[in-house]
Order: sequence, then structure tokens, then C-alpha cells
Amino acid sequence: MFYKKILTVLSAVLFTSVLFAQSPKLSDADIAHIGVTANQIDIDYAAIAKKKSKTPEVVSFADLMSKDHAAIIDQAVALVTKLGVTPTDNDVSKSLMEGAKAERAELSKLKGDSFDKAYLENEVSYHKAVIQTLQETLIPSASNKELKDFLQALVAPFEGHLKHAEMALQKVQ
Amino acid sequence: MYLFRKVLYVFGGENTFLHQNFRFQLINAHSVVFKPGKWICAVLLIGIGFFGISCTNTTPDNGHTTLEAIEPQATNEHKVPVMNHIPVKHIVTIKDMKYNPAATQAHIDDTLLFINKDLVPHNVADSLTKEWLSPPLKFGEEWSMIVSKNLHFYCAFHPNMEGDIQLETPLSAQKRK
Repeated sequence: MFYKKILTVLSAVLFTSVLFAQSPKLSDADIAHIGVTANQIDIDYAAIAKKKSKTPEVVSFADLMSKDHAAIIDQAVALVTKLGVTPTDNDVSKSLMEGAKAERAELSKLKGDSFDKAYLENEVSYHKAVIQTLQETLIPSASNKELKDFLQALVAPFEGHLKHAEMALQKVQ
Repeated sequence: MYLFRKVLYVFGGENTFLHQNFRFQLINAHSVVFKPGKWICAVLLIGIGFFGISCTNTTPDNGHTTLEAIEPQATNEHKVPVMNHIPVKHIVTIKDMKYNPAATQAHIDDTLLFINKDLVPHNVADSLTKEWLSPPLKFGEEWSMIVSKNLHFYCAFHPNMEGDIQLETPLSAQKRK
């Protein structure tokens, strides 16, 4: 249990530390790619929860995550297409994907209540990490005004999800 | 019938037809022909017939067809005078996980138009009586309804999002001025 908690915290720390360690400034293309990746990661977590969890609240939360983050990706793709920005893979996105892969492996080993708890705890810490990254790194680094506004608009749904995840976690504990 | 004629004989005048006739028939009791009675019966029957027909012809209302009963909006249940109010459209924008405005003052028969301008899908659900529910609205999609009473609504996907509609009365309108 303690080991799992460590892993969750580690992945969140990894997320933010990699971003701060990044010396060259992030381009709009990098930022766009990171934005899409961050949303896709949550959709992948939700897919595991929808398959594994037996708790209706957890399944409906996971369903909400899938739908909301897929809608955000659609909006992001529409925007970057309009702006003529091609999302480019970068070190930040790569490390995010690696951290998510490790977390998914851990979640796959769990069952029942321990899975529910681990999934929701991960959702809480993940959403916190993304909000922090948006506010401290991605939004300030964005050059294009429309992209900046879009990233700013992302904060509200992520905060909404965070509150929802915290409430769901309280019920499960 | 004999008794009837006897009554008429008693209450009729000395020179009435019945009086004469009855006296004649009293004398000729064995050859009483039952003629005048049948006319009275016929008149009575025709009278009853007309009365019955006129009863079935009357309608309970003042001529409404059954179709009008299906549309309750046609009836005016307003306790406040609304003759001077022209229905308006109120726009509620959904953005940043909020209904904007969250609280609206409106009149009965006003239109409410919800437009989703947020990044994620939302809907509008009746929280008071659970009678109505909008379809899921993607970015750019809209949905409208007619105000018929005080409303309290929320997003079924994101229950922390809430809003309400309060019916404006002349008193509250005056207070606002």
C-alpha cells in the first residue's frame, strides 16, 4: 500500500520536475503536444477503471473522465489545426507517457476496493499536477494568444474533476 | 283517467266543454268513450319528447372542443396581471464549468436558451421535480425551454454546477426599479 502511494506521488513529482528541468523554452508545438498527451493519459487511466472497477460511482467517474477529456482533445485539435500548429513530440511528453505506463502497470495488479482507492488517489494527484503545470509552465510559455486562452480555459474542467475525484475518494475510504 | 276528468270537472267552470262532457258521461256511465283523454296524453307525450331532446342537446361548457383541453398553456392561471408582458428570450451561457448567469429573473412564457461554450459536454437537468432534462450538449450546441414556474437546475455530469430561474412578480419588479 505504502509502495503504491510512493509511486503515485513519484509520478506526479516526475511530471512537474521534468518540466522545470527542461532548459530550452517550450514551443507552441511542444505545448500543444503536451496538452493532448496529458488528456490522453487520463482517458487511458479511465479505460482501466471502466473495465476493472465494480463500484458504480467509480465507473461513472471514469466514464465522465473519458468523455470530458476526449472532448477537450477534440477542441485542442480543432484549435491547433486552425492555428496551423503541428503538435511535436518532445521529452516532456515522453516522460509523461513513461510515468503513466508505470502507473497503469501498478493499477492493473490491483482489484476491488484497493483498485478503487488507488485509481481515485491517482486521479486526485494527477489532476493537481496538471493544474500546477498549466498555471506555472504551459500558460506562461505559450506564445500564441488563442493557445494561451485555451490553456487558461483548461484549468476550470481540471479543477472540477479534481473536486469530483476528492469527493469520490472520500466515499470510497 | 276518470279521476283526472273528475278533477277537471270539479275545478272547471259550469259551462266548460269538459264540464258538459263529463256530466253527459256521468249520466251515460256505461258508454263512456275514452276520447278526450287520448289528446291530453298525446300532448303530454310530445311535451316530454321535446323536453328530452333539448336536454341531450345542451353542452357542459360554452362550446369548447376536446382539443383545447390538451393544451394547458391556453388556460390563464396567472394570479398576477401579465397582460403588458411580451415573452422575451433569456440566454444562459455554459462556460468554465458554470451557468452564466447562475440566477435569472423571468416571466411565465419567456424562453430560456442554454448555449454550451465550454470545452466539455454539459446538460441541464431539473433538480426540483425531475420533470425535464436536456440532451447532452457539445461545444456550440444549444437547447431551449419555456418558463412555466420557478426552476432550479444542475448539470447531471458535473453536479456542482447549479442555476435557477425565479419568476418576477410586479412587487419584485418595482423593488428592482
